[in-house]
Amino acid sequence: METPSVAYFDCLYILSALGSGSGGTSHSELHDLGYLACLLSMLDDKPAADWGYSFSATRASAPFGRALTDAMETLLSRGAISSDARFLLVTPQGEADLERWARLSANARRLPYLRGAAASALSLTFPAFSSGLHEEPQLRASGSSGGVPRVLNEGPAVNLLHHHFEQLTRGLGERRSPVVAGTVWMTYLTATAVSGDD
Amino acid sequence: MTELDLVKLSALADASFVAKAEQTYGDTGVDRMIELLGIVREIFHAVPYESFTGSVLVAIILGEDEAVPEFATADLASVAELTGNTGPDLTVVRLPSGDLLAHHGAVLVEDLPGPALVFERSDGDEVFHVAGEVLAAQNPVNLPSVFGQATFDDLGSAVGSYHRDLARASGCLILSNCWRDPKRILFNPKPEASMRRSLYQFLKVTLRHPDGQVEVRQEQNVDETHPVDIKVAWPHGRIALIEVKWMGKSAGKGPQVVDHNHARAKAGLAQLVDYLEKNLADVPEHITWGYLVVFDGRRRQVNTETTTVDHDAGLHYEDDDTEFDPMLLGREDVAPPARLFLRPHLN
Repeated sequence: METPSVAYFDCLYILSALGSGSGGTSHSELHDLGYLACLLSMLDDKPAADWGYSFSATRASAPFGRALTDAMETLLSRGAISSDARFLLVTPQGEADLERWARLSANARRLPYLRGAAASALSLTFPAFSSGLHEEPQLRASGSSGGVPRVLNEGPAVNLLHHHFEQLTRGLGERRSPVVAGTVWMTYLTATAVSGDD
Repeated sequence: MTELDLVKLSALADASFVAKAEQTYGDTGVDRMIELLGIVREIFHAVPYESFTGSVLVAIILGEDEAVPEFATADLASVAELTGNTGPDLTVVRLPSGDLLAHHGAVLVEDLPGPALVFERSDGDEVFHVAGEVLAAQNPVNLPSVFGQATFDDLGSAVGSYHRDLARASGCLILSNCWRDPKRILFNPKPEASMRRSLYQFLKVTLRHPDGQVEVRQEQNVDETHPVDIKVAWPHGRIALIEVKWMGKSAGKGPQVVDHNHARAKAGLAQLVDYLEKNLADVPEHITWGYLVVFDGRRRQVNTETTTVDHDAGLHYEDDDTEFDPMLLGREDVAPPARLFLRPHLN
């Protein structure tokens, strides 16, 4: 199956935004941010199917989007991103590709959600951000699936997610842009995660 | 958790520097703020935040004015050129063209050549200046630095950093509340819960592994009667069981004093080995090792009437390590214990 072109853009944008300040971005962090960006588009009333590719929860209750991994591998082989076997970085060629692809309308439409995800992660330590994201209702619910990987955005956990969204909307009011929603939501969930009330 | 605290959400939005950047400057503001956060992280990656004893100011000039500020003394091809910087202060400015300028000195926000998004670290506080407002970085665990905090994939390094950056001077809010008095002479009763929580929070936001999230959980049951204090699980099945103990004296309002010393630490190691034996029986497929962390607040010749300590009384035990049973210490699944000496507030 062909990798959706939007997955290449998402991969490059996320890695470029997160930069080299923490040594780069890990494979799992790439998926965390891609997943959050997808959720922010759903908060903005876009259907999950419109995102262009799907996510499932791993046995470790982490989000995983196959298309992102496939895109990452292709971009590595093209030299648009580099890896030191631990973390991923965008190369100058990748930055040039990103600048060119950002002008395409399909990619430009995703920018608010990708911005929201990137700003959320950069406002916290990366482990704190991941801990917060894993408090998201669907990922939390996936932990009780007995270790069986499950597709996200389906089943009763989606109702919990929408309930979260309703409350976020009430709490943020008119300030509910993807960027504000993302940063506030992740800061809130991170505080919950580190409170130790597992 | 299904109900969110709407008041808290609203307060977070009010305090968000990212929201302020978007509100004032739109998408451009968000893009510049993301770049600013990236540059700040790169700076602290190149130069540890602890090396700056003065102020760090990083600004992205908005608009199109390319005027070079008078204070700028160096062009930077990249932030990496700052590696090895030894000055107490640093100012970095990014012009609209993308050019980076540096000044190894302190600069006031008012002296910047035009509207800008600004990060400032000074006196341990990290704030953002956006359109005349000063907004604090979100720091749910009260780290010394949100953007300069190193992350670790090994527990020993993380605990070492925790001791050095937070515990030694009881800089963590939770840990500071362990003490009965402001000079940090005696603990409050039963301080171990707070110590565990403080360490747990730090590990939760600093343990990072390239292959996936590191799970950190408090009070995990090894069996039906014995909870281990903290459990850390890395990707690929490696697990660490952390037992937390303390040494020193604790007292409440009354005269009774609880006094823990080396015997307590030794008992902690024995308890940890007991956990490891049980864990080995239950889940032999996991690679599990044990880690004892001892919070050491011992002071020399103090009691409930003591209100101050001098250097000798306060630091007498700083280098006094416990001699553990070599049979237990020599186990392959036992890591070297970490004794975290907590310094008093000296006269």
